Amino acid sequence: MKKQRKFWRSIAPYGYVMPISLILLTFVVASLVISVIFSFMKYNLLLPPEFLGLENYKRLLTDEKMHLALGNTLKIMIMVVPLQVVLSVLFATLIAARKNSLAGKIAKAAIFIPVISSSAVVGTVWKTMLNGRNPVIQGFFSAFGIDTGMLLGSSTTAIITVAMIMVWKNFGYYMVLNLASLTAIPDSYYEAAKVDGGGVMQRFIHITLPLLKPAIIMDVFLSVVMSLQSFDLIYTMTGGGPSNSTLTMVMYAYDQTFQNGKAGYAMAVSNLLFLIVLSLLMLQKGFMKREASEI
Amino acid sequence: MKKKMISVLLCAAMVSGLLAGCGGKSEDKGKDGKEKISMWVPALDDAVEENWTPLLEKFEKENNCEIDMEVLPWENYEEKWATGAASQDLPDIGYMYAEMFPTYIDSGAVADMSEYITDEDKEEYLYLDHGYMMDGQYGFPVVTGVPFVLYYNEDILNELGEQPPETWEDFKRICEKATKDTDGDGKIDQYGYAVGFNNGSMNMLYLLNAYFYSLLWQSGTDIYNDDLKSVKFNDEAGVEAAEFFLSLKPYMPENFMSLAAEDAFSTIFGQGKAAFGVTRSSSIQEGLFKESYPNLNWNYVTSLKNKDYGTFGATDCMTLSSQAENPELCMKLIKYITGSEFMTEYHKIASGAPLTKSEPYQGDEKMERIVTEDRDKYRPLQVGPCGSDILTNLASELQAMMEGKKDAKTAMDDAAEYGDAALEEYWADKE
Amino acid sequence: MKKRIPKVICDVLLLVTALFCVLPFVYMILMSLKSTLNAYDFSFSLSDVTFQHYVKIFTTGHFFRYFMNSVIVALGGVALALLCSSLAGYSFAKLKFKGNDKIFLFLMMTMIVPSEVIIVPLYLIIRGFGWINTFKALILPLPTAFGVFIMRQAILGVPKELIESAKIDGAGDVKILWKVILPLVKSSMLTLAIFTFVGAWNNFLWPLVSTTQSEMRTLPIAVSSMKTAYDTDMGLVMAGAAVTFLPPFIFYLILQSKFQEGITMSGMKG
Repeated sequence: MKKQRKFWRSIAPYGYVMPISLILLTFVVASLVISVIFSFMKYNLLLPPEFLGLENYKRLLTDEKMHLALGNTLKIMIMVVPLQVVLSVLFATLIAARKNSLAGKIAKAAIFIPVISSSAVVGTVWKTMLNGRNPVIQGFFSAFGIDTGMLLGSSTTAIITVAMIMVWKNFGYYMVLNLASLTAIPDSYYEAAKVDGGGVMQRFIHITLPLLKPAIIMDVFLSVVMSLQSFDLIYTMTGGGPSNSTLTMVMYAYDQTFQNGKAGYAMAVSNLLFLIVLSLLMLQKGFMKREASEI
Repeated sequence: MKKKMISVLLCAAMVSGLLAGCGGKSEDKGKDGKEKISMWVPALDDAVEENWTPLLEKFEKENNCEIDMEVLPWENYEEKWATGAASQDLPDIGYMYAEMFPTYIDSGAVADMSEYITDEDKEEYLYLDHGYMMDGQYGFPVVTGVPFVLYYNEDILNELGEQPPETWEDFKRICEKATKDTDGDGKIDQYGYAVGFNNGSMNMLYLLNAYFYSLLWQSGTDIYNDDLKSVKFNDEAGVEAAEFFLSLKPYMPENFMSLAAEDAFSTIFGQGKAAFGVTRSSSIQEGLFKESYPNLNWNYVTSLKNKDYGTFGATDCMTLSSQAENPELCMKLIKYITGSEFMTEYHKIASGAPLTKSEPYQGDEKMERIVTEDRDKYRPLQVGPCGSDILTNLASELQAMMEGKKDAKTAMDDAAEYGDAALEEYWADKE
Repeated sequence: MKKRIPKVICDVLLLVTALFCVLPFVYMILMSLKSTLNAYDFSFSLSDVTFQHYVKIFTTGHFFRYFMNSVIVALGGVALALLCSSLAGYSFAKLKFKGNDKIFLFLMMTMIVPSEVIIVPLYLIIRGFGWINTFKALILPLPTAFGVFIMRQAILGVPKELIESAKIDGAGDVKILWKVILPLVKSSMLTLAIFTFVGAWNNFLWPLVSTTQSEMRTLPIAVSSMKTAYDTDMGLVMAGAAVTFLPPFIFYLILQSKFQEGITMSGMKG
């Protein structure tokens, strides 16, 4: 009896993990496997695939447009990730500190609005706001010396602009994640620190940050993954232009699949992206493990 | 370890199952033995389902069949086709625009309709030649006669003492005169040509549709050489077209690289701040413009002339699937939809140019000359292999040129080099 | 007095940011009340307000059916994601079994597969199952490894002692999860619920390709099918955007108020 029970105890964890594993295996992993198979083939979706060997991967090495897309994708990641994480921590802290005030409540709801809306809507609205000669918006930005009407039109500023709008759209996402961990920090911690005479900065550095560490690791991981996959917002705002300066890897793979009928090659592109993200994830893996053992 | 093996096996089994061939075709006969025809149509107006269903019911009754129509959004329209094609889930009757055809013709997914077209049809249907491409009648025109035309602001032209332009020189001269500061604050606030050269939300090809094909054709060249084995657009005439477009840059709004094409039209030309603007015409333009731009005093020139006339007028077509169970009935339906009875009714609700001889013109009087005297001034796109790829790249080379990163010759040569390479690969594959 | 100033600065900063986040949506709503081809016809004047776009959207063919489809898909996705993720999250965070870390990392890897590029393989799989035009096709692929990640991270923070004492009382895993752990990680569950709902609701490409019958349409696709290729009425587009935007927003507001309750009830405060 006892033995049997022990057996079930040892097997149960696998049972709990099973449902999600099955879902991910059948839909995501299997899709990935199929796309790996197709990446060795010439496939245009309409005709039966033909085996090509490493041809598609060789092409990756010489395809200048792909290199451009790779560069742009990395640029976007570098611009988006730090800003997004810093802003989300900052505002999570501010809102947690003012969670009972009206301003805090309003901000909490408002910052999440961009997250809820679809990228297509956000893209359209921002594009029209930036380009519309509207005195309120133009006035706001010209205070910083920016002419909004020109932002999306130059190869140098377009990518920065879309990156900033991505930050605008998504930092609320991370803010909510941080807030979920922050509100779990008992107020008594802060009270204690106050009694000890800790200032605002001290409290932030010694209490908030350490407690937020798991959340921040999650933020970094997710925003790296998401920024490397950026696609739909940019697609509506610039469509990859001007002259391919905002073309990302996912967008390139997407166009190759659906517009140019080169699905096999597109899958090679997306597998390369997969490998890049995977290697970045491996760098982060260290962090994640340590965190688990700490608790 | 075991788990890993199971998962690997599972994946392998699934993949092999999928690759081995994808399931049976869905039932083509309804429960009551009626013939079933499936059809995909994009959002031709804002309520296609409501507008077409009553008209289709008549056909269903007369032919004892069932039409299964799906109205698709324009967004991701090609993606829907491509995924359907990946597993032969395509409808019996479809709707395609020029850029979509090559891949589907190549793979044999759409059928050549030549054998179903009679001499009477050739008499009756006005635009059948627009559906003839890559040596076959693969398309049956259903929407046409709404080309991109050059609109001008009558007030501005009158004030400058100018007549509507006919040649490139006229056009450029008026643009130059019109670009100025009208309220004396030192800033230019009236432009010659309302161009928007950012391609967000609209397909990249829209930029070529609106601004570039016309110049290319007017200067006497085209996209492909006749054998479709190499591109032609970087010949002398093509470079001249690009140079001319570049030379208009000073008369465009400062932020033309940020503006989307349609936005440039609505916010600059529509607000009376430019002498010229380009957008797709519509046979009810007068009504549309009156509502949105009440103070605009406008007219249009279908095409300028340099060596030739030419502007882009899409011809979208109905297609017949090569898998259709009953192609005769499908053809009958296609002819019914594009025929006078159906279209006369439909064009009452949603405007459009008549497709047949017997269909009356029901649009605005002002726009009628497009489908009468100017009918030969617009043309559909030359359909050729790797179309989207080559043209999208051409559009981004033009963006580089307009941004000042390349001169016209280099931009066109680079685009041609890319195009030729794509074509070479395509034809090498064929052999 | 000294304390007041940072508070005021805090509030001002928060409100400015809030305004910055909301502005585009104010724009969206205002535009949706106008009928125009002009995207920049933006003014705060309410003189030519019209509700015609909303009337048009609500009276279109099967609006209610499309709306319900979206609701079913989104709520189904939320339920499925919560169930799968909390079970797996608990297992990864608190149970010892061989390969724990490895399986977890393996699942995490699925998160880095961009969904746009696997749409074709996914379609082939779903079609292989014969699930085209079913809710299964729309709901089952919704849960992601992200949910497991969130839940594991949250459950890691639950004190060991609580679980041990429940075990001594003879509670099984399911009971521990349900009675002890989930109430403590409510905020993470709500976060996951919101993200899943929003993701499912705004999904466009997948519902488009995986359904071929109009009665299986979801709301964003139905709204988008009213948008013609040219001469698009910006007002109608914005009204459509507003209609699709509101339900997730309301869902968020409802959950947010529940979220406050959750904190106080679980007694973690103070």
